[in-house]
Amino acid sequence: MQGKKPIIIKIELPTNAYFMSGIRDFTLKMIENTTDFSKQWAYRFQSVVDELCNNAIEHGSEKNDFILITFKTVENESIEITVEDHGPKEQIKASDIIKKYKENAKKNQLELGIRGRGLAYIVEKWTDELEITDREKGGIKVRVKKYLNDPNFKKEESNDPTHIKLTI
Amino acid sequence: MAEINIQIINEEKTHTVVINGQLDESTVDEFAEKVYALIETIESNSKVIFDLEGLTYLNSKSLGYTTDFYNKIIAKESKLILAKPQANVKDEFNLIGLDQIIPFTQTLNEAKQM
Repeated sequence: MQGKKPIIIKIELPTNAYFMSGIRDFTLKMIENTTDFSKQWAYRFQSVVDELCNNAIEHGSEKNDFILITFKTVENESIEITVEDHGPKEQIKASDIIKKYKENAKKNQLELGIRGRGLAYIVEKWTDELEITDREKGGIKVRVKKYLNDPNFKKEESNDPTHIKLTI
Repeated sequence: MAEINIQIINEEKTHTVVINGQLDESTVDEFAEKVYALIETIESNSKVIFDLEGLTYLNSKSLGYTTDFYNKIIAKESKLILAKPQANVKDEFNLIGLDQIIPFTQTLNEAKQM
């Protein structure tokens, strides 16, 4: 049986935080219109997108560059978001980013400092899949996915229909 | 662009920071600068209350600043209280466990009486 056809939206965003409120508004509307996510999860995914884009702009890009955001939704199944940057002059490796965010996740909140909660908490805790890879032509690609009603995922005892977790 | 409006109301040793708008990468540093300036001036046994009713978004850097404000306010033997957060804003504080460290209240009166 053929799977449902995904809706794919690609946005090129200049590397300037000025435009992020527009992307947040877009994310909320897109989730409302293409998924059955609750309001709470729509806001959570809005935060996830904001954090990924800010990281790409701030740590992964030069000025006057752009990042590429891809939204892929499959009705009643999942939403997947990929954010790609072109890398700064001094390239950061995906393995270093993974190591750093995992270290941050273990630190005491009051000792973590101003930064370090985006990937370690907001992105990692509010998605079902998180993949960080090096792009062949330089830069980083971050892909996150949240499932909705996937039979491979078990619902937690919660009234929130989107709060589902991978069972291993 | 996101907008932020910050008003600080000083009543003896109670300092209420009324926040309206969104705290994101383009606004959070300006907000933090004003709060740090306020913290510099407070005396011991003061209360700093964030009125969050008009805050519609905050990012991870804002959470980081909040923990730093908390540390600095505690060091001055004073209290930080977060009042009237919207559900999505409270959700972020809960995610990182700050709701277990910093007191939250449903009303400003409650915060003032703490």
